[in-house]
Amino acid sequence: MDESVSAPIAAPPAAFAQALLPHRDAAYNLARWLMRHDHDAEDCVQDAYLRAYRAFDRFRGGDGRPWLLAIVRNVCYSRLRQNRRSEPPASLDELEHSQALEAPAGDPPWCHAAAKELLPAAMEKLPDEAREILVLHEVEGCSYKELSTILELPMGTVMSRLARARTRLQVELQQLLRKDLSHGL
Amino acid sequence: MDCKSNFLRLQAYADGEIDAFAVVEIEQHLQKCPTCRTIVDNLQASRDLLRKDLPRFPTTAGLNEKLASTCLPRPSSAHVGSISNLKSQIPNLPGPLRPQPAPTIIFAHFGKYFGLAASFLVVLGVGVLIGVNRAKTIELTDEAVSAHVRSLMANHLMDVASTDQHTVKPWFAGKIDFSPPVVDLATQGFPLIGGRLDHLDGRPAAALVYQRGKHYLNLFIWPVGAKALPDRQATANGYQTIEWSDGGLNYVAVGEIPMADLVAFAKEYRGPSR
Repeated sequence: MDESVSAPIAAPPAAFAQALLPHRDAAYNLARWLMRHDHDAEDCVQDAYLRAYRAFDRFRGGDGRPWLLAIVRNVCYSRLRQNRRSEPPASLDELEHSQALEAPAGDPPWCHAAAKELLPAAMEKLPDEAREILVLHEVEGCSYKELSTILELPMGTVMSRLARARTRLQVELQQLLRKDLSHGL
Repeated sequence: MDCKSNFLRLQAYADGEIDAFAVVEIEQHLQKCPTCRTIVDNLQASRDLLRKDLPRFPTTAGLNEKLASTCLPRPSSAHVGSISNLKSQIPNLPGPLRPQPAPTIIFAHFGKYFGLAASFLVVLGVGVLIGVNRAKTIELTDEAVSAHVRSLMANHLMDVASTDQHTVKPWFAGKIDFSPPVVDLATQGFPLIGGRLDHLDGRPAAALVYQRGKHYLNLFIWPVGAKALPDRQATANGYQTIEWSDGGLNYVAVGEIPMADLVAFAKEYRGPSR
């Protein structure tokens, strides 16, 4: 069988697979959190790998993860924009001036017994920019510098966005905990 | 230190993103400022919760296959295992692995010679069975060697690079439907360096990658299907293979190292997992 029939592209350079294939778990996890749907996330990751292949001459070597994740993210956002053409989602940047950096008053919800259970629901309520930065920083362990590459933002903005995302998550989690408690009564 | 204007600095401290001098300065401040201490504690508690309890969605086997076919120049499934395919791509690989001539012909002559139709048929049948079985085993060895060569050639030795067996083993969970025993043999001279998802015997297989000096060993593991592999050693074109089965799993170790070393490897690997 002719290989070019089954392969979507010409045989990629070995360096491509070596640099990017090991990061597919991180790629899928980011896509899944942004798209909130298994199949959409898989499509985005596949698309991202194809785009990465086409742009591979622009890869400057080193760690392939931030480079790949930046592409995954762009693919996800362009899909999300298509899907949501009618109503643009609230962006974290729109809240940039209204939302305080620092944590709100009240008991921190993190150590509450129900926090673990309510965490996914609280994440769902966050704007995309907040969800992605938390997933990248806490789950994937990306450094500020990597975040700055992936999100294409200056370091200062990375830091304030991360702070706002945490604050926002804290507010959502506190609200869910309050509801949870009042239901329990 | 002005507390109000330094929230981002405290966050960077909690995230381990500041240099040692700043750490000392902040820690001195935290000792006498309960407000800042509370902020740092809150940040750390939030991070702990997320790190521990935020789910990480795993890739499916289907997506992994698709990505591998996008990223790697893999032979089509019908040609997996054909070393002659690979040979055309690697000029210095010695001649193709050719299956030994099956003993069918000899038995056939034997049968014809004595003119005994019945024994001819029985012996031919046995001969064909032995031939088929033998060809199948050789095909599998051939397939394992070619998967080994491909892993080195395509620079796709590892999907998960880690010398820690506790990282490699869970990596396979959700990608394959069995749990390969992962042991590090660094003290025995065969450090574990990673793992990979591969394909053998018509199904997904785990490949553990070990190092011996400058050479790499692939240990392929997959569930015993129709046939458990008997203990067997083979040498072909400079590649040594050892096959065995254990606890419902088939194993093929492949490497370009002396057979004695590979035997030692298999012995050490089987030792602790038995």
